[in-house]
Amino acid sequence: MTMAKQNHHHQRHQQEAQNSGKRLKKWDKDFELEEEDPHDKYFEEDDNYESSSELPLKPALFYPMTPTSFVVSDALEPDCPVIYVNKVFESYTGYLAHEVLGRNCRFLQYRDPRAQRRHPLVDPVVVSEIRRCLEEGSEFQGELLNFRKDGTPLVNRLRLSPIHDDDGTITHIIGIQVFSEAKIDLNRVSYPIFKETCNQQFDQSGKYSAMSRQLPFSQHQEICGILQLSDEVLAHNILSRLTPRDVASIGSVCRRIRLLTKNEHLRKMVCQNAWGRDVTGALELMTKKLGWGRLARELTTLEAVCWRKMTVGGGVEPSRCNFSACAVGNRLVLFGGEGANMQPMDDTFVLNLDAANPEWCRVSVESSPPGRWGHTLSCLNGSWLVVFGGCGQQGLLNDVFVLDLDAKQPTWREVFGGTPPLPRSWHSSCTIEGSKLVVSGGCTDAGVLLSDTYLLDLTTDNPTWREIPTSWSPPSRLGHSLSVYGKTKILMFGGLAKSGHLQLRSGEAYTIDLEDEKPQWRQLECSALTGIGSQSAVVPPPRLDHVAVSMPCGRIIIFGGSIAGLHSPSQLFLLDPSEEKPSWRILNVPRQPPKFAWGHSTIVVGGTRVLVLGGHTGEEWILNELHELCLASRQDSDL
Amino acid sequence: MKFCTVKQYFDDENNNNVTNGIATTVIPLPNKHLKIKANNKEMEQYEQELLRNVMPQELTKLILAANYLNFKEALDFFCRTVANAIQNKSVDYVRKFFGLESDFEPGEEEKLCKEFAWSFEGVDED
Repeated sequence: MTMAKQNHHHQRHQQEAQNSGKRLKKWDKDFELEEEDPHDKYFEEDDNYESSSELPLKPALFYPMTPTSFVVSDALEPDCPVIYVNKVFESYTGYLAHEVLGRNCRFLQYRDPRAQRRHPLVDPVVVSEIRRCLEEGSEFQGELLNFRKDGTPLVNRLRLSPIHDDDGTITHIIGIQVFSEAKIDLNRVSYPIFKETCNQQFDQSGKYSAMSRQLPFSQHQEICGILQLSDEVLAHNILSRLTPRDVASIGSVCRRIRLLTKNEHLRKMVCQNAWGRDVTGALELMTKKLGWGRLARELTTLEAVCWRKMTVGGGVEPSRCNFSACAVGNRLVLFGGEGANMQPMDDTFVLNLDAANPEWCRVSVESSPPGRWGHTLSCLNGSWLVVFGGCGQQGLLNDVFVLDLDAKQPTWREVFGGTPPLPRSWHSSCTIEGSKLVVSGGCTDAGVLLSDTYLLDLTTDNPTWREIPTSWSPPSRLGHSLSVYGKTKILMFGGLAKSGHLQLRSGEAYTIDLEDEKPQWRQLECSALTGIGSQSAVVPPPRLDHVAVSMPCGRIIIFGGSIAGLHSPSQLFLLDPSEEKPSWRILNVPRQPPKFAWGHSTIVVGGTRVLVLGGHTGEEWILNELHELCLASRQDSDL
Repeated sequence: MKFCTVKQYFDDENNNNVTNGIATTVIPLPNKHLKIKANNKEMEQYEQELLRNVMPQELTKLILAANYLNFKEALDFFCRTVANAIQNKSVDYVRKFFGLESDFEPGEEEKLCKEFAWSFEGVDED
């Protein structure tokens, strides 16, 4: 092969495989190259790009199919009075429309129509959460204790959605309620967990009926300092701001705090504040089985981590390598790849892990992007996916396509983003806040390695590529990983990087915080501790096309890839980039790991499951055998 | 709107929850807020200054005062400060900070320590 062609194939060797048409990609040697000839290609701005109708991420209002209880409140009037209730609401609650119009719907929290404040068994943490969502203008979903007019307790599974007018002002709030029987004993006179410490003496004005305050002075002596605050204020204002680990330890301070920290809703808020809404949203399914407290513990201690093997049915035909894959909920999605004779593929496959017998199925789409390999497929909010770049039939690409997997007729749609980055393959991408695609590095048509960083915000009406200008960039590279932590920070690791005249595997780590006014890449100086106990610090050997997993708590796991020398790809390394002195730790995982694992064919599902496609020895086309790295327990497993 | 309670406070004989000293710290806050509203960093600095010399007991009283006065921004700010102050600290530190005593039975506390051993690792020195 000529040098040019070598460049074009990015130093991949073709090896004779047992089956014709299937190739094992191996990154064998470090290559010596002549000094690259910078080949500046740039594209004219496409003037007549159409704005995509329906860009991914505008929240859709859920309209239930069966008659459900329904309330509309006026958000422009003080205290959001109810302006409409439907018949279903009337029949469930026993309140007739004329009795409740003009009032705030918190009356449902009073056991008696004449009550002045909510019943003590109504969880004040949930009430705080409702208040917070309404103030933020975001949607609320949760469960709350309510009462019929006759005092019967009900469980209200509630969804509150704000309605905006053209200016974006919230004009109304729609509440959808699913009522069910509450199995509680109202004769419990002492309400241990949610003491109402409100005192009527201070409650002279009706305005403060929902706000609880301190006890009067005479009781001050018995209750110390901060504990004079109501449960609601303590939990919502102080405890919810702590990290999951701090919340667990602070429960040992005294009984009252212990009780507060046991509240599942508080634990969820703590995880949300610490890890972000996107992450906790993805973890929602997992926590139904474990609970937020246990999940936080397992993700901190990694005590339940292990490998499992799985076989699935169906097939991805024609077979291929160098595809890209990611997850939508519990479904794996695969796009493109390189088939026989280097043919770029353009089909989409899905594997539903929730099915009784999961099997690969082709997704029938109305239109596909041009076929490609060496591209990136990343997940956005909800069921949206985005493809960028890669090597197509006519050379390298820099186009962007999005797909909503849950649409009635899923179809790939191109997003024209102004001036796109240079066409490239084997670049790396990640998603910030579920809607901003970040792309960096890769290799151009001429074999030039790149070191740029580009961002595409897919929430705007006309998304436009924006280069992130930094005074310094890590050396240009391909096959590196970008991992998001701390909501807006990115860790770059490894890859095949430019080193003088050479291109060598890298073991360096770099970070950037996109929230900074002027984001800058910085090299992460990872110290090498001499370890005590099982977590000794050893630096991961340099590699490319490896797996990098962002854990909810902000730590990153690295393994697999093409590693120089005799190091095992199945050794796991752990790093917390936000520590003062970040250091790598080895993570020992019980049970059989796969021998090899590749970044583009490994998928993170639900934040806690890492699925490695490609059989035991990492042959990517063997898609029916998966290795799974479980980061947390699954209660339905036989672990 | 923030100060509907203040009027009540002055009318109220029972002033024990909010001492005068606290009132002079908390009450000027909204004016300052309005002045520096646009500039978050300035407000942060002002807040840091304010709290640099405040002891935990004072901070607790500030929280109680802000809560009583129904002053949301101040309450948020003071609580945030407290949360930052007790982050990654040992159980004893938190107790001392708030002036709390353990009301657990001896066996109970030991059990809790075991159950939550994982959360006590790597805390800051007191």
